[in-house]
Amino acid sequence: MTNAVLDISGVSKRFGDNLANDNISLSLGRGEIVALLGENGAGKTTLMSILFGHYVPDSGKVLIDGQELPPGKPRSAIRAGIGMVHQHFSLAANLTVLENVMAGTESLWRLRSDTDAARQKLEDISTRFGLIVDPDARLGDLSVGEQQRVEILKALYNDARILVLDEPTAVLTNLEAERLFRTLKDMAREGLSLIFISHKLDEVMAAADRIIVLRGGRKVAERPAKETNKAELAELMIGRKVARPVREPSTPGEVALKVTGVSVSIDGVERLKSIDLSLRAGEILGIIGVSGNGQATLAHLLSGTVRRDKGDIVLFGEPVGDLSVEGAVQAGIGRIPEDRNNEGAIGEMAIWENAVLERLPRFSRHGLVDRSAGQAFARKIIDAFDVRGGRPATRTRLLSGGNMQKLILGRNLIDRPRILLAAQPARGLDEGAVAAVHERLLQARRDGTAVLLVSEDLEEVMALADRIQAIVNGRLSPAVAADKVNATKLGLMMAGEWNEEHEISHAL
Amino acid sequence: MSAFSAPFLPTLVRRERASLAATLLAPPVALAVATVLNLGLYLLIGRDPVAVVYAMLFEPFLSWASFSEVLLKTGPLLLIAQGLAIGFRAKVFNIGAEGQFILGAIFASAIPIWFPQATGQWIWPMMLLLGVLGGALWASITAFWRVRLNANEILVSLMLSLVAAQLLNYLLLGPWKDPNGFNFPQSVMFQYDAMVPVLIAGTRVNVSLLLTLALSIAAWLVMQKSFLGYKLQVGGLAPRAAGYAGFNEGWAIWLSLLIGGGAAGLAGAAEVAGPIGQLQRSISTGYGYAAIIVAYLGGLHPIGIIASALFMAALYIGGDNAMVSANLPIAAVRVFQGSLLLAYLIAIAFVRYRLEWHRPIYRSKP
Repeated sequence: MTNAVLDISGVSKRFGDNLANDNISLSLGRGEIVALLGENGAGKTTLMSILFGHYVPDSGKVLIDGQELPPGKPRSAIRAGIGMVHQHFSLAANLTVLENVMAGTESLWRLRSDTDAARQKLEDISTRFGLIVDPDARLGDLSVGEQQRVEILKALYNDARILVLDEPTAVLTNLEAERLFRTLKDMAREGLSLIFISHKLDEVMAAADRIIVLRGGRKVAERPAKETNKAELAELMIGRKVARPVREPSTPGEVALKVTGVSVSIDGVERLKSIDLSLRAGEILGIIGVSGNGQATLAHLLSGTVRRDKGDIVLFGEPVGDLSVEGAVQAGIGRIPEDRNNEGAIGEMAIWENAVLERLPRFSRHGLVDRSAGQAFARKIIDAFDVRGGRPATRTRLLSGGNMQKLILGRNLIDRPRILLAAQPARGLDEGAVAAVHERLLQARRDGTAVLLVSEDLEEVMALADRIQAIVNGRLSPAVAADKVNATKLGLMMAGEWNEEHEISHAL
Repeated sequence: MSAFSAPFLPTLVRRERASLAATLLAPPVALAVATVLNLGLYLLIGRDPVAVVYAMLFEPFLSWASFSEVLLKTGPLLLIAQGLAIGFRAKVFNIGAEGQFILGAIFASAIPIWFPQATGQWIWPMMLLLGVLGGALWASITAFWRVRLNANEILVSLMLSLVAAQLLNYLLLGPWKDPNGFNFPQSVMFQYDAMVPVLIAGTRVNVSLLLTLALSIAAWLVMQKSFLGYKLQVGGLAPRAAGYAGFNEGWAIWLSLLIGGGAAGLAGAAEVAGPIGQLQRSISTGYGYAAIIVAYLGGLHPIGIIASALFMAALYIGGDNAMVSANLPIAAVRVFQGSLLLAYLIAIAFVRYRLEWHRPIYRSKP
């Protein structure tokens, strides 16, 4: 590529023993979107930090329009037209959009700022790239998606021609992510060149023209998006073949959990509206829906942390009224919370203390915690569930997300629960960990556990669940058999259109 | 959404793990820093720093008479601090131990004031029990409003301390004033059986010190070993995880405040039934506030608190000495206490966090 706007050639960077970037080269054409794909620690962010002048490379150079960029000088990078949109925004919540965009662009010695010209420039950029934001809105009042738009605008305001986005969808909902990708494509059409960093296969396939895969600090592959597929990318990214497991046919057993007509209000807002579901031993029931439609409340209801307004919950044939946490654990309900960092585990406590968290009564005698029994329990989980990176006394926050999730899965599955409640169990994990979590859920199903899987990931639900219900605005659709639906039909269900599915649910 | 971070300024980054050595070193380093700063202050107000340091930090340990006074002061500080530390670890900030202390003293005094003729060895234990009750009741007001309306417990408990001080004034100027006391705002002197027995002959150290040490061991058992302490700690570290695990937050607030209030009330009772021997305005010389410093200086750890209580008590006695022998104003002692806490909090912040300097990032066009 001769008319590349950006050329990175032979860049290496070492941190101590760790070779973060090993002789990486890449080029970016005008109006092109390149995705930098790799797992956490593959070297993506290091490479971009070198591009932006935060780090000085040990060897190699960066060329912009054929001109070499002096290393380690962010100011030169900005002057050359590189803009960076960080995962964590560097914006001030108490300023307006316009003030945020202007911040740092004017000389300190000028007495008054030229707001009118700035407003004009911002509006021009806004309309040209379709990034519509009210310039006078206070930043703190905007949604995360809109804040990101401001961050992008700010880079464009500084005349960026090459835009680097670091994991731009990490903080966005699915809908906002789709909108972002449409915007990125518009921007590319207008002549901007974009690099975005990601570890999600779906989005690099959806948004990029070309995909560069990094692994262990090395560039392992480069593919035009049209000539590759997710399976190949996953294998390149991880370095071995990982196939997510898929359920095999089975016959479900008795009804373990039956919920009829349950409504739940939280702070006066009705989050669940007269929902019905029934869950059998040895099956996985998938609850699919766009985040914020009541699935969190459903998971909390069955975990015993919220109370119902009306309706009945029947566990193993016996009405239970409201579930309490203790009651749920004693009844053999394993619980995987949606938010593993805040609800599932306490980072500042030891692994063993997290292992016994909900099962404390079992590990206390005369009111004292039996430390050695707790540690033995943790050791059992670590061995059986392949939790890497810690011993029972290690602080839990030192574990990676995947290993933390294995710990949480382990403490629930090691007792062979009769019901397993899994809320977004693979969210935010890398591909290898996703496969491991899925395998555990299927193993629980084989062992006769009734699994309720709450997820936003269509693919995950279609691969694992026997039956699927959609949750929309607090209402739950009737169940459909997973092998009788396709993604289109599920998409319609997630949009609230399920009237025609009635026959199927009656047939079941 | 991250805060706006100015270029050139370093940010605090949490350490992977705090080293044990640094944790243990923090209190002595803080003490050294506070001492040096205060020496400068003494020089500025024209006092001889060597004499002040000798009087404040050494004299309390040099004679049995003054050391026994140190032990006497250790009692209430230790007791209140142990109770508060349990709450602090659960992130329930009871700042009103002073008021709970006063209520404990008032409740305990009811027996000797209403029944001055009563005799029998049941009296002083009953007074101590009433003290616990009084302190816990006063703290329960804070707990109630916190759980019911989410009213900030720091403000409520602190303001209730002022109410408690006025309640004490009212009693001493009105119904409980000693009729033969020349109109001084104080109660009658308590009878013999209303006094906690002396432990070491020839000193004022009494049996309540043993009780305090026993309760310190109990506090250690609760915080480090028990189911209950574990639940409180989870609540403090990660409230949402505690809720998910089924630990009730309201319960933790009630328990923290009742324990803190009860301990402070017991300390108040032990003061009036011990060295003071009557109810008077100056029953507390800021024990309730000093105990907050003691609790943090001891790392909120029951064993650490024993050491810090002893130290803080020595500082009280040493400050008294310095007032007499080096002509130091009483405020200087408070300044020392305050700067010590400040130095410790800064030191402990560096044990847990490290500074990270950023290369300035220019976002502007030149």
